[in-house]
Amino acid sequence: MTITKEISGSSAVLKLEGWLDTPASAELKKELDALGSEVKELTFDMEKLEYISSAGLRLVVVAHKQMNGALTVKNASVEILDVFRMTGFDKRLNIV
Amino acid sequence: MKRKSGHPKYAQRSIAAAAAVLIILTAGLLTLFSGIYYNRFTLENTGKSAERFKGYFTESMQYLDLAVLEYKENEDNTVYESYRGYLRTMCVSSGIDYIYLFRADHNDDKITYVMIAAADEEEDATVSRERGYGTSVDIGERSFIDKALDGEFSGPEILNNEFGSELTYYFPVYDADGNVPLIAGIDYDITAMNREALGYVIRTVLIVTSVLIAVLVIFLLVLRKKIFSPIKLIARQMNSFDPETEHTKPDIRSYYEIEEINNSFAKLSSDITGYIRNLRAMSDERARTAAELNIARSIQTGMVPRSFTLSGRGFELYASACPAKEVGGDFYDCFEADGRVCAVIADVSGKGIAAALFMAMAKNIIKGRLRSGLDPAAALNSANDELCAENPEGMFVTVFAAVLDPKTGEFVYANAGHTYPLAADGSGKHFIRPEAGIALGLFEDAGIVNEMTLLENGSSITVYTDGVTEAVSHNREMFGENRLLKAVSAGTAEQTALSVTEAVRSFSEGCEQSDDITLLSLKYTTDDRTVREELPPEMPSLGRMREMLLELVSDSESKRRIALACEEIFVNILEYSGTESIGVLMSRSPDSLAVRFEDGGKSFDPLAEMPSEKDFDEYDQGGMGIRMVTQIARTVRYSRIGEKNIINMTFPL
Repeated sequence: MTITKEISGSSAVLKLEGWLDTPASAELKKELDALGSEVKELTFDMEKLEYISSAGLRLVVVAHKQMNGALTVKNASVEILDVFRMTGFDKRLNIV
Repeated sequence: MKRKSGHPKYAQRSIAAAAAVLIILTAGLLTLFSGIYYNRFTLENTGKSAERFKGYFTESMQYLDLAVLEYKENEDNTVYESYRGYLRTMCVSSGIDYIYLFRADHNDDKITYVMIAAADEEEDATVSRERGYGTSVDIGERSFIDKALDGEFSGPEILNNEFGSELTYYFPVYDADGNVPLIAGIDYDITAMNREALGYVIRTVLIVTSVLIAVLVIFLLVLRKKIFSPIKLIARQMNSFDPETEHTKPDIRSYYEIEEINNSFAKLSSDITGYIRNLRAMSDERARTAAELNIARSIQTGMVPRSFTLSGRGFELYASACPAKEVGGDFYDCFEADGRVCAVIADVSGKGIAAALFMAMAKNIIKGRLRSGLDPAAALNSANDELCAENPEGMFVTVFAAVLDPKTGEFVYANAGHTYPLAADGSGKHFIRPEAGIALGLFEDAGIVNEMTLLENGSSITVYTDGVTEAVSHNREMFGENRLLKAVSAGTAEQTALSVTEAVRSFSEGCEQSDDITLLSLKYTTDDRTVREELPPEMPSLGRMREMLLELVSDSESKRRIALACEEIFVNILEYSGTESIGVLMSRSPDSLAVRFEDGGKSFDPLAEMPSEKDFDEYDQGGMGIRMVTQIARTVRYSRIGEKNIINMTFPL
């Protein structure tokens, strides 16, 4: 799991690469915690994300709450979108 | 008993014949004796009469000149005739037929008549002419006359001449000088006497025999009325005795013995009629029972066929039932439910209709429980509750129930007091001895538990009823577990089962089968590719699990989804069960993948913990994992078997 962070002003982009499984979700949790309070908008770039488990999904919700809903998911693959669909996340997330 | 001669001997006729013989004999003897008696009586009488006459005559002679007896031709013979008249009077008064006087001499063969008189008037005229004075006649037999000449009273001589048969006495007539110038002859007519005697005899015989006949006839009539007719009547009744119809006792008034026979027969026949009626009722009842038993048997055979085959992907199953003569309570049941193969074998206590009914009930209840998805122990415990509640007869049933997951070879079983199953696998043949619960129907809490084993490819399980192990040979030996162990052969399920039934049959050759012989063989065969591993309960194991998956599934889309589900389950186990090791088994069939997790941690059913639909915002607390698993997997099933949590999943490919 590789996470690349880009922060410009109040918006941040986290590029997620590889498998966001349970062990990897701990790393993501650290990154989210490390975001300063000045970050008001967050984007998960899931172009290179191959896999997401429920632990990853949980962090998506955590991030969504942290940004007060200002969370965007972009470039999600069909596989990842499939997981979002399964869990009903597609209806609540801003997916572009 | 049949007589040799053609005709039966009738008592009545015999008695009548005896009576007739008696009468004839009596008449004959009577005739004989009365004839003899009369003869003797006549002789005695004529003798006495003759002597009496001799007395009179001799006395009268003393005063009589013999000259008066001389008949003179051409003279008036008044004196002669008057004397002859006197003699004739003597004849009549003394019952003498003829009196005659004649001259005789020792040296003369002739006698010469001097005087003759006959009692009968006509006869008197005849004889006085034929044997008149001076008539000479040859002497036939002279001894009597000689004796008379010698002064003796002689006779009787039986004379037969032209005058008939006479009984003749002779005595001498002396003159004054003591000479015997004349012999007197006295004749009694035998013919007349015989006629009289015959009349007497006939009269006597007639009277006696007619009295005898009358007495015998009355006797026979009484016999007939009092004995023979009643006996005939009773015999007719006995002959025409029909047990169907009520016997009416004939009204017989006779001697005690005959009435006793009548009463006894009336009692006997009414008894027989009663017995026949009972017998008929009994045989009707028996026929009805037999018919019902046949129906029961055919229903039973319908429920438990003689042989049954069930096969599918990963398993083949063969069951056979060979019921004993009587309807029994063995049953087996095998069916597929929800991708699982269920096999049940059971033995109801007792035999007969009750056992068959209880069997039907138990079979349906257990089947229902297993179909509804319960594991074997839960199914049996639940069936036990119901059987206990509806068991007034205190019957019970021993059951072995098993569920095979043909995808993974997981074989879960529970034993309620049943015989031990026999397993045959790569390591050989051996009995599995699961914890035996209590037979169903006895106690509310049967406490039946599941046990589980993972079957290898090609291994088989054989279950049976005690009709197999307790089959008896002609020398009173039991088949037993050791023979069973030897008998079980490798091969298909059918071959395995048949090898056992054949061994039992030849073992108990010639003995009546006393118990049902029921057998079920299950073989697990899989050409699925299977990987199995024990993984340590830590995150890096996820990688190993993905590698296992990679071996079996190449399609990345499926692989990713299955990996997701597996990860969720694995992480769940990791978080909650505190186990030492997690067994993972994956089995690949052409169109699906079965994954099985097994851990020895504390009991935890993730499906039961699955939260109800949550709001999006609450998902930061988790709870999505299992939800996704249920969406990805075709089936997810949790079971707690023994000390183990088992999760079985199947995924479509």
